[in-house]
Amino acid sequence: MPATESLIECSLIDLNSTSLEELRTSEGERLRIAVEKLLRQIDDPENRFGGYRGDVDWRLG
Amino acid sequence: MLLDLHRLSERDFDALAAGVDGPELAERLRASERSQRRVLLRALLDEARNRRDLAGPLFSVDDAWDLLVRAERRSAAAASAVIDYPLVGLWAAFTLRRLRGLRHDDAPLWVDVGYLHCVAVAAAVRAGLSFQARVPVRRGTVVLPTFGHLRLASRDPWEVADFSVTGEGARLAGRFGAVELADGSIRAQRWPRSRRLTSEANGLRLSVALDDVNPYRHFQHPALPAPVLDSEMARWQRLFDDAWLLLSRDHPEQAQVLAALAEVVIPTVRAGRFLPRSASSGDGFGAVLMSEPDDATQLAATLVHELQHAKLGALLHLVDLCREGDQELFYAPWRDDPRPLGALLQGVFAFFGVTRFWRRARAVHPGDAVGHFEFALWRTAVRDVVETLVTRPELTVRGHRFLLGVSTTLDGWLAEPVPRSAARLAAAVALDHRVGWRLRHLTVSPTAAAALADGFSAGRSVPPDALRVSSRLDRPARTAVTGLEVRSTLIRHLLHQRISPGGPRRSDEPGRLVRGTIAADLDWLAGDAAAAAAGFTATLEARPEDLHAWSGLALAYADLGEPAAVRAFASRPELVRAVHRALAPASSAGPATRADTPTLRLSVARWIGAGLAGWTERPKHPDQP
Repeated sequence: MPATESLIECSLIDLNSTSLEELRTSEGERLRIAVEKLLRQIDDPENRFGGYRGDVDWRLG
Repeated sequence: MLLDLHRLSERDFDALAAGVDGPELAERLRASERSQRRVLLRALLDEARNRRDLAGPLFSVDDAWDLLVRAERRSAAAASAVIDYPLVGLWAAFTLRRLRGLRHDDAPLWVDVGYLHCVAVAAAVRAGLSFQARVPVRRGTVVLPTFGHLRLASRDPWEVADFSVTGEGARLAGRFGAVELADGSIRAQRWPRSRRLTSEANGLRLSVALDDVNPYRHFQHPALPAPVLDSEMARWQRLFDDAWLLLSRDHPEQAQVLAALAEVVIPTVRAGRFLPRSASSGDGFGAVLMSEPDDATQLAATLVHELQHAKLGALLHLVDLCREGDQELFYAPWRDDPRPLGALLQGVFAFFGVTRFWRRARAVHPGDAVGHFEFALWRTAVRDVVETLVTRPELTVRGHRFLLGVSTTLDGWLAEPVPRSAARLAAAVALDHRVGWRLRHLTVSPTAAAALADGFSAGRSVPPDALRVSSRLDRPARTAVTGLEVRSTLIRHLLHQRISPGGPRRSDEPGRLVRGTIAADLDWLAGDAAAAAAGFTATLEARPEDLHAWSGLALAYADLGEPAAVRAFASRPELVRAVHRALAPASSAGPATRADTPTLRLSVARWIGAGLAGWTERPKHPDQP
């Protein structure tokens, strides 16, 4: 994307260049915040990140 | 090392909202989902390491991670192919929820936590490593993500087996049996039952795994492998080919995005005709769970629908569109159960994509009434829910901007003409669902209804404040209601079979096409509203709580030109029913009044509708009058 383009800074940390070895031991504020946010998503009873259609037995968490 | 944050361009955000996103944006969402997956795995690792008792008879999670690290060093692509496999995300999220006490299952925790060993083994096999590992055996089955499953003789539901790969081949050995695999069968992916659906048409290619064995494929609870039969597989491939031909030819923009996003189809048994079931999860980006489709068009529309959820799920991992609410539940025109706010937003975006699909379908096939009907139905449904959402304080500034993008595109679609017959059926299906939903989920206090009934009996006009009596959503909300889909299914049958609405006659067995259909439905479809009203009323005289007949009455009165009654049914059918219920015992008390009973519902509806004249016809929230 062009360098001058207006960007939205997201709360998700970019781990595309982080090896699995580094991921295991990485510390830092941004990773901590990302994990905390993920745990809030995991705990969310609505699970607003997906959807379902049809029988409620398929209801997502 | 300071790690960067993902960034999303304003242009991408607006393109997604407006429904004009392309494959490049899809690739950027895939990249952000790779980060999301790694955060998920790190969170799981942290949680599991804090509980040293979780390994059970397996080695530790760190041992599994060591093997993953070895695999990645040998081949980053091999490790990524496994880690980023959608069902690995479903497993990790399920297990993390178990560890946090949010899920329960019969299996010991070590079986779920230990699935990390299966993930590592799959990555190591793909990377071409020689190694030894111990994996959990779930009811005699070992499933390696991206490969498939192996069966082992077993006596206990939860066992372990040793997996070893050397230069000569692989061996999986449990307590009561072993499986040998020649080297080639592993690395050439000729794993037992590994299946793919692949199709190429009009220069576009779609290839997905058909995963019918992974224990975490059903999202909520682990499941045993249920491999589709060869004959079923052939039907899936035929439908897949036809669906891809249709998508790539008639919907090339949506097809390109699908090709970039779809990775796995999780099949389940066929559902009722025109009642497909499907699901997706933000934990498993790229996976679509679906019942075996009726036809190629339904398969295509389902892929579009579920991958809209995937895109929005990925966006929500990046940007907050709404804050957590207070557990309020809302009406969604596409659901039979009340939905929380976040799910409502998901529904809007999914059906926004579905509307776009049908808009294109009707442009390509203008002679096919199905496209006109579906387009008319869903564009209005999406608009109605957007109007609800924008009033909610939980919506963030970005959330408002997102819905503005949806609305801007939708406004153009809403201005497009639709053939009158399709528009009539779509409006009727929408009214039928809204009335039926409210009758099933909302109740009015008997005391308030009795007070209104007294006013009606005394011949007084409705005091405006009296109609502000609340309708309460039953709590806990009923998630399983039946009968709401009868008329919409019947209409889809007729449209698909190109039977004119007047086609099926009363002399036919009404329930033959769709269970739950009654003769009055056929009168209504044929345009004989008077006969339909009489039929629905007669049904209610015999079964006063027949909700299908109650909503049918609303449709018949709409055709008979009863604006006040229809206003009452459309806005507060539960109030009409409650007041009628309060009056009905007196009406049936003696022969003189019993004769009035058939018209009593209409009189009550007219009376309430007159009082509602200044009100909106689309209440924004079920708990509001």
